[in-house]
Amino acid sequence: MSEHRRHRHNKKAGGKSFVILPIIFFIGIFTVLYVALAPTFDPLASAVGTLFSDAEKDYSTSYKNIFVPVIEETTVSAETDKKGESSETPQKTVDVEEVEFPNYGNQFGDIRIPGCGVDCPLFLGDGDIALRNGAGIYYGSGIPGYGKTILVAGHNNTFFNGLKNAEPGQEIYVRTSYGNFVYTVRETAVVEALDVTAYDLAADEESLILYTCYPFDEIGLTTKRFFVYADFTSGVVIDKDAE
Amino acid sequence: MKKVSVILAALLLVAVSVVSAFAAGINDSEQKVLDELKTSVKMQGTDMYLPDSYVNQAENYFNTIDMTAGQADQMLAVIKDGKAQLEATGAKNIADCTFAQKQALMDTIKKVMAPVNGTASYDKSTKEVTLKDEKGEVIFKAAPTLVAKDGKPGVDADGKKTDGGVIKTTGASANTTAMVVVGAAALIAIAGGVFFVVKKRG
Repeated sequence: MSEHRRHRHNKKAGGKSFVILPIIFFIGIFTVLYVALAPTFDPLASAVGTLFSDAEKDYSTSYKNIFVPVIEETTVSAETDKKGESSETPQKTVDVEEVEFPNYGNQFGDIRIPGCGVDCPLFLGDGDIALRNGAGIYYGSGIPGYGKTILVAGHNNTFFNGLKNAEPGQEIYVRTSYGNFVYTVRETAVVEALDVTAYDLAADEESLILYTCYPFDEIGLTTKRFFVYADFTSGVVIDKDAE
Repeated sequence: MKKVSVILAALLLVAVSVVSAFAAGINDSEQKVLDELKTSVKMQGTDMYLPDSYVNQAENYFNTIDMTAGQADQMLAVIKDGKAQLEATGAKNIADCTFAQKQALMDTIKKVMAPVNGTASYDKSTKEVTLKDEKGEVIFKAAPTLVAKDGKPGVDADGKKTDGGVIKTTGASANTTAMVVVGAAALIAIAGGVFFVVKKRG
């Protein structure tokens, strides 16, 4: 290669470097800074979002905790013998007036499945704050002791990741400020998220349904959910007629 | 002796006041409202209902208050007006209503909340109606829709299928996904830069 051609080649390569390298490094440094500063940007983005929304939004990150554990002895068996009478000690009954019914967003208990490694706070409401801090009961379902379907959501990469180990027969322990409850896993299922037949929120029998996104280790939006169905085994009885 | 009696009486009063009594479940007035919410509306000849989860949200709210008969009567009157209003739209579901009809329905929802000093708002971004009690606590949040009792999901304000917000997105949160994507892009950009420099020097 002649001196003249080498000089032209170097000049051409140098020109590319002056354009491509700064762009590449700009993108690289910008993205690294974005990742580092994203927590600072989020509140600003939220503030900008309010300008385009006519609804009052809640950007708080705190929640009210009304959970005061009840001593274990207050949980008694709900099983009855053939004569319809209690086979063990009489069921512990709690007057409805003594129950502080939680408001949306309150932590009012905790949930534990020893066989799955699930152990986290339990909220009423399954909004962002609740799911960041534990498992959340859908506000349109029931809460323990009220004889309804209790639908509980949890993130698959945090508190409900352990649901992948759920098996029939495992016990689920729920503690609340007004009493403790035990449910037994009946079955698990993978269901489409929009399948409204996967749950019955009008049922007048108490049961617990836990769910999380499926597959478990997938990042991003998924169309399927992993459901764990559990039957009521024991717990305090809320006396709804007490006034 | 008199002083001791006064002190004992004061202590007794304090002890009594410490015992908490909360809203006593669902009273008769609240039950009337719940029963009304469970009845159907004729939409183009089809019986349409509020999803069960919506009625449950109302029940959960009623568990935190003691509604008076007067409040319930006012609420019932507005709910019945709202049903007549829905039937008069001639629409198949709320999604099919005109903008003006939807606004009129929203005004009715606000009136339903008035007897208990609650508020109602609609968020265009989430397409959900949020109701709050007099303390500002959320008591209802869902897409405005009606369902036939055929096991099929309803439709939101844009006509898209919705379960009314029952099942949530419980995968990695959107923030986590964004962070992973941005982090991967940064890594590729830096690796590309290093490759370019090494190749040039070589």
